[in-house]
Amino acid sequence: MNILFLGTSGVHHALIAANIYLKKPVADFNSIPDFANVALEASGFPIYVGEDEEGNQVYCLGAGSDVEMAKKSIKDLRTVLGRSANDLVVKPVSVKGEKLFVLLNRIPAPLGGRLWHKLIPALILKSQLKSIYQDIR
Amino acid sequence: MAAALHLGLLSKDRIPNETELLAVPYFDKTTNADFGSIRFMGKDEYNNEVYVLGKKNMGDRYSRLLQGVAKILGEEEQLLVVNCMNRVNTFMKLGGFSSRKMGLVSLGRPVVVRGSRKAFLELVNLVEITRLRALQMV
Repeated sequence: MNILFLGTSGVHHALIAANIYLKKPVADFNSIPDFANVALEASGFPIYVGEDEEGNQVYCLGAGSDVEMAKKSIKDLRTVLGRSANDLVVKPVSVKGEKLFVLLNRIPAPLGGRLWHKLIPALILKSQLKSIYQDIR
Repeated sequence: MAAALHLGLLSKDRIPNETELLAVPYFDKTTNADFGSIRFMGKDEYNNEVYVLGKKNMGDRYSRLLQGVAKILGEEEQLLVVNCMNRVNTFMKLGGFSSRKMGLVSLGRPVVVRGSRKAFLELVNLVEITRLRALQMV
């Protein structure tokens, strides 16, 4: 089975949620591979995070500002392709200020990328880590 | 409209009139709740299933999102995503917004019909390109 964590940004809260699910350390965001990697996010493709103890493949994906719309499309596509929730589970991840990440991700790196893409989202997410844990567990 | 052209619901040889456009399933009839839904339009002569999807202003990113999901499921060869937005003109955008988003059908529909007629040849071109891409995938 595949598990897809879906957020407004695939390299912030959805990525953290996927790492929490895989029981990987997330306290230091800098240690999370691909955290705030906006180039990867810009590709629009799901990001492979790892495999859980049951052999499920875990991914995260940034859907932009309308996560519900993307969730609906992914579930419809799953049906169109003749698959079911046994093949792909979609788990939306929501945090306060999540739509801001979509805007911040669009700021070009030369205009202070590290600040907009990494530091501000990290600040927003730090206080919400507990609620992401609760959502996943 | 592109799906209708691909499926032969609209003739590619002449610009459709308003009645013909409004007879196309879902044409200027969607609601906000329809965004994100993948809706079946029909099967083409090669038995390919053709669907339509409204994705707001998500652009090519949404195509890659869908392709990526299909890849996860090991079905990437089964999916061809066609972004029609680069063939949509300002009349279609304004008319669609007025008719669908604001509910001003009597105001927006004539504009969207005018825009659709204006974009007709562009859409026919897109459908022909898509047909070739589909054949290459077989």
